[in-house]
This record gives sequence, structure tokens and C-alpha cells, in this order.
Amino acid sequence: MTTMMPKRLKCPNCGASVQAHVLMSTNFHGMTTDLRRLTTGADPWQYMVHSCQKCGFTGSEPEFTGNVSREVAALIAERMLPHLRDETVPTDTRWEFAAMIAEWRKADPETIAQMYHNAAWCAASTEREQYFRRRAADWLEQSLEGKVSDRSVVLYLIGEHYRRCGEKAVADTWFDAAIAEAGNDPKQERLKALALQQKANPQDMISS
Amino acid sequence: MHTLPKEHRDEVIALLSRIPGVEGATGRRRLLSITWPTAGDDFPPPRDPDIESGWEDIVAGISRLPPPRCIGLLHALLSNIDALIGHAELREAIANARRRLTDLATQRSLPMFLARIGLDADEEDDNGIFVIDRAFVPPAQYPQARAILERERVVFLLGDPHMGKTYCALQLLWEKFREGFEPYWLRSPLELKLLDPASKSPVPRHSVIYIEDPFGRISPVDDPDAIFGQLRRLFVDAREKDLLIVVTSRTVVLQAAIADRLREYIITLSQQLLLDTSYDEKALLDITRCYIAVYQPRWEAPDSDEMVKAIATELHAPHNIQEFVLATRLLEDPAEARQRLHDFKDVVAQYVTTLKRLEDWTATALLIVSASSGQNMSLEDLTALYDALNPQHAPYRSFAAALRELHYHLTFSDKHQPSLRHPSIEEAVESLTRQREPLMEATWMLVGACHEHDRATHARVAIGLLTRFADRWAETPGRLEHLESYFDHSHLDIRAASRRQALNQFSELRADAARCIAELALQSWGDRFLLQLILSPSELDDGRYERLAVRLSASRDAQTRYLLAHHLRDLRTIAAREIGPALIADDDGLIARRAIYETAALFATDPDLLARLRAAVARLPSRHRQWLAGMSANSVAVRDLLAGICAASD
Repeated sequence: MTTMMPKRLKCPNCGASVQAHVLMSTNFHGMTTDLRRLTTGADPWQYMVHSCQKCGFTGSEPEFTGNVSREVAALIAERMLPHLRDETVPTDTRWEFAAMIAEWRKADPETIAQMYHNAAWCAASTEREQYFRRRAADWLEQSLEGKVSDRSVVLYLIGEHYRRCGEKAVADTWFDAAIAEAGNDPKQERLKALALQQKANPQDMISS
Repeated sequence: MHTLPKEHRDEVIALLSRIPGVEGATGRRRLLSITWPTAGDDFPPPRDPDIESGWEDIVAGISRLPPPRCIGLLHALLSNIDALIGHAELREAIANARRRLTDLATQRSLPMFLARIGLDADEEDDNGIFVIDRAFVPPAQYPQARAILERERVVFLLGDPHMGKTYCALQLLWEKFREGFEPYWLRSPLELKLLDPASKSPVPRHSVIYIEDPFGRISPVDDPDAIFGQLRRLFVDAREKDLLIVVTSRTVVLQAAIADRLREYIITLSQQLLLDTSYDEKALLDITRCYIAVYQPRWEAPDSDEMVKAIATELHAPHNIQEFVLATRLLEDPAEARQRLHDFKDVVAQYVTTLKRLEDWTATALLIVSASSGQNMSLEDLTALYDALNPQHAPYRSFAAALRELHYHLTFSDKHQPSLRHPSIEEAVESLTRQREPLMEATWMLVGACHEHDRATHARVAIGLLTRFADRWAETPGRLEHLESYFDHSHLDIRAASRRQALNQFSELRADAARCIAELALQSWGDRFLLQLILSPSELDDGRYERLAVRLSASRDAQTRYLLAHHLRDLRTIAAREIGPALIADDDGLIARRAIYETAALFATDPDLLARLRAAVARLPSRHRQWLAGMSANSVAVRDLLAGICAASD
């Protein structure tokens, strides 16, 4: 069960007080084929990033204790502030803002990709979901130019993002790359089977 | 929602009222105190037994429970009363009533079906739904729709107005009810929350659910994204929970609401009910004969075949045929009835003709119901709005009295909230309001009354009226500023809700109203809202449309530019040619490659634009060129473009 508690944070950019609900605990059951772990109760991703409704600074709870450089502050004012005049920042946009700030702070591409991936989950079934998935795929592609946590998983995820955007031909080339990368490594057997399945008979859930 | 046929409720009330000793408050309290422990903890506490309406109110309260709980409780009431009396005739009557209730628990009759979906057959017998077992004639696509539902568990019934989408959906529910499924009819997007397993009374397994117009009746709802998310989850759960789901929508509403979302469901799971293809001549003749048999118009003669043929040939759509037979049934002379045929070709026009007979206050009540459509406002709120329109126009009539007079045009929820019986009435109300000056003034006063409340529901009603009649408000100085104040409201939720409401109606606005809204939007809306505006099909003039497109193509917001690029082919050609070159050269490769993909076919015929396309591809990082190569499987134009570039470099 997802639990959260209210907490007052101080915006490191403008100093305003931000009333947030921070995640205390969650549990998981099952997984989707884009490697999202499913939870019982409320969606925990909405409690992982918080936005200052006054200036638009967005980040996880620890990031509210850090500093914001002058360059990043200027970009926040230019790119995020206009949205605050329109509506309360929805969860998927919070993740998008967090990803943009991470990019400006030169975070590693895999981290940025994960943030866009989270944004896509929060924007499920909307046109924005596909936009965020394409961003996530693009950052994962960029991550391949450096060192990545698990190359087969990254290749697979790129394919799955494109598949979920309806771009099957593009997706299949990435699934093929994931299958080739996994080779005959016994540790990658499940991933290889998953990539083969998503090419031939795609599913949204991983069967247990 | 009543879930027990009225005849059974009345029978129980009549019996309870006849029992000496329990007809008063004391007796009622005593009987309820005995009944409740036998009824179990699952039942809600009884309503106040001291109230004047007595058993009537208590039984009505119990009847709102879904069967078999309400049947069980009424059964328990009668069982306990049995022990209290000695009168043989009454005992026999009670035993009979209990037997009927027991039968009812397992019965799959039409009255029970209607009761379970919240309809009382004896209260509204003009409604074609009450004769569905006699009057339903399947359209050509019905067998496919049923097959899709059985195979996939979800079916979309799309189509033109008046083609019988609701009727088909209810027939599917009725058939499945007889096979043992529990029927649910969700008439408002707000009722989708019942489908959440965490709701207080979630829809049980083995149910057949009809979701009526989830994206709005005549225009898309406030937040289609949220509804889309709920529907998608429901579709995923359908198999696991043994649910069958029927969704209806006007084709244009669905297209405006969904864009690319759930395309896989819409394409594979929909059946389109269209004029000319859904009902052949024989089906239309059958429909006409069915309605004549049901409503028995006085003009019917034994040799009325010619009249039947004339109706079927002239009216085409099932709903129009029903409306004609119903409206003319009191006419004796077939020739006189026939003369009115042309009035029913356009049901909206017919509704306008009917509504013209309403007095101003009654028409105002209908206007309030129409304007609040889909907002789930309480009866108290609606009454307060009505009463707030200072009754200077005599003769004043109470809201309740007006609603009684409007009975034929309305349906009522279990909380007595009125809603329009058919979407065409909403269109007719707008038309009538434009024609009648006192109604236009009442509309303006209604906007003012809503403005008094700092609530999103009231704001949406006001915005709906301000937007729909923006061209008329523009004629009077100061009135359009009201709309501006909503678009820039200090409360963010109201600001966003008002913009969404305006967006939802944008595609239906007249050109002059659309121009007014676009001008205001350009002044205060952010780019993401403006993007939605330009993507709505509208009557907006080309000049403003192009200006809007240019502004968005230069947006600092990457998401806006990407989605604009993604929709380049959906934009008017004039705008696509204007902004395409900027988007294909965007510094953001993700945006540039999408714009290249979308404009390849359009720009290929123009040497200058083709040269720009080639230059743009050459500038792309290799990973984006690789994506284009992958996507060329879907696009001849992209394939030709890439081949052309390769050839040139060779």
C-alpha cells in the first residue's frame, strides 16, 4: 500500500514554501512490459517530485535542500514560469520539469530518460505519454554513447517505448539489437525472451 | 436509482399501509426494529420512521439498493409483519407479495431489466426504451457489434445523431441481462468512478456496462485525458473481471476528443452506425411498423402501407421515425400527419418547433438544465440558479413546476437531478435562445448568477454560455470582458477549467464566436492551451489560424513545438506550409525529425521546400536519421526523400 505524509519544503530557487506530500512507503505486485512495477493503492510516482508553484522549480525532496545555479534559475524562469500562469502543474509535467532541470544540470542521460519515462506513466493514454516516451527513448539512445547500467535492458526499453508509440518497424530494430546484445548469456535469458515476445506477440503486462 | 420495479414497491407500500398497528410512526418503528436484525448488517439504517410519508419513503429508500439486497429486505419486512397479524385475507396478500418478490430475485424480465438500469416503465412510457423488446430492429452492423462484444469484451458504437446508438447499446445490455449479466448504464463521465474497485459500491464481476457518450454528448468533455485513462484501465480489466463494455459516442465527438489515443481500440472494436448503410429499406419499414404497433397512432388505417413507406423513405433515421409517430399519434387524419413528415427530417428543428411553445420561465429552466449538462450540479444548486434570475417576467413559475412541464424532454437521476433526454435538445435550446431575446437576457443573468459562486462547476456553466454565445456578447460592450476575467481568473483551477470548457466547445462555434474566443485566448493563454485551440476543428478564419500557428512554431516550449510538428498533417495546408520550414530546421532533433516525417509528402512537390527538407535531414544527428529510415517503412514520401539524399551524395 502506498503511504505518504504532508511536508513543507523550502524552494531552493525562490525561497517560497512548498506544501508537498512525500512518499513514505509503497509495495509492488507485477510489472508491465516497459518495466514499470505496479503498486497497490495510490500511484507512488506522484509523490516523488514536487513543484514550487511560485517559480516552477521541480525536483525530488533531497533536491529541495540543494542550490540552484544562476543559469538554471534563468532557464526555469523562461521555460517553467509561463506554465504556472495556466494551471496547477500536473504530475506528468512535474516529471517533465524535473527532467529538464536534470538536463540543464548535466545529469546522466539514463537518469533523464527515467524521468521522462515516469512522466509517460503519469500521462498514460494521452498524447503527452507518447511525447514523453519519445524523449525517454531519445535520452536512452544518447546514453548508449557512454557507459550504461545494462546495455541489453536499455536497448530493449528503447524498443518498447517505440512500440508503445505505434512505431513497430523502429521498435523491432531495437528489439533485435537487445536480442543480439543478450546473446547466449544465461542472465539475460528472460530479457531476450521478452524482446522476442514483444516483437512477435506484444503484451502490456509481464505474465508471472 | 430505483432498482426494483415500481409495481412491486407500490404493492409492498399498499400492504404495509393496511396492517393495523403499523400504519403509524410507532408501528413503523416497532416493525423496523424487528426487521433490521434479521436483515443483517449489510443493509443501511432505515430512514426516519416518523416522517409523514412513512412506508412510501422507507420502501423507496430500500428500493435504491441493488437487487437482491432490496428484495431481501422487503421480503424480511413482510415476513416479520406476517407474525404480527391475524387477518387471513391480509396474510394471503402478504404471502402472495413475498412469492412475487422471490420470483423477482431470479426473474430476467424487461421491467426488472429496466428497473436495474434505473428506469420506471410506468413513469415515462413514451420512451422507446420501454418497448425495446417490441420495437428494436437491428441495424446492419448489429451482429458484428455483438460478435465484437462477445469476443473482445468491449465494443464502440459510433455514428451520426439519431441513428439509434443508445438503442443498440441497450439492446445488447438487455440480451446480456437475460444471459445472467448484471446491467449498468453510466450516463455521465462522472459515473465512471463507479468502475474504480476502490469506490464505495464498485461494479461487480459478470456485469455488462453501457458507458454513454463518455467524451461528451455533443461536444467533448472537460478532461478527456482522465476519462481516457479510466476507460483504458477498464478495458484492460474487462477480461479479468468478466465484464462486457459497450461505449457509444457521436463520431465527431469521439474524433475531437481522442486524437491518437486508444486508436487500436477504436479501429478494431467499433461499428459505425451511418445513414445509408445501417438500415436498408426493409429495416426502416420494420422500424416504422414497430413504432406504429407500439404507439398506435390514431391516423393508422388497416391499409396504411403507403403511409408506412412514406415515413420510412422520408425520415431514414430510427429516432426521427419514432419522434414522428409519437408526436402525431393524436392526429386522426393520415393526410394531416403526412403533411408533418418534413418537420421530422431534422429532429433538432422539430425540437425547436416544440420548444417554441414553452413560456419564458419554462424555457429558462430548460436552458439551465442544458447549460449544466455534464456538470453534476445538485437539484438545489440548479434551483438556486433559477431563483437567482429575479422573476421580473410574469408569470413566474417555480423550478419544480417548470421541470414537471418539461417532463417529456428530461430524465432524472436518483437524486432527482434533471438531464436532457436527447443531445439534440441541447442544440435546439441554443437555437431557441438565439431566436428569443428574453432567453438571451436570461442567459446573461445566468452567467451573472454563476459568477457569484467561486466554484469550478458554476464557472464551467458560465463559460459554456459565454463561449457558445460569444458572438452575441461581442455586440454589447463589456460583456465579453466577463469571459476574459474567467480565462485569467485568480483561482488557477477555475482559470484552467474555463479554458478547457471553451476548448471543448470551440469546434462547434460559429465563425464569429470562434474569432472572439481566439482573440481573447491569444491575449492570455499559454502555448499548451493555444495548441489545443489550433488542433480543434473550427470555423476560425485563415488569418488568425495562421497567426496562431506561427506563434506556436516559435514557442519556447519544446513539448508544444513537438506536438505541433506531430500534427502538421492535421493543420490547414496554408499553415503547414508556413510553419513547416521552421519546424524541420528546429534545433531540437526530436522535433525536426518529426516535422520532416510529417511534411515529406507535402513538401516533395515544391523544389524549394524539397531542398530545405534535404538540408534538414543532412543536419540531423545520425540517431534521428536512423529513426527516419525505420519510419520510411510507413511512408513512401520519406523513403523517396532518403533515397534522393543518398543518390545526391553518391
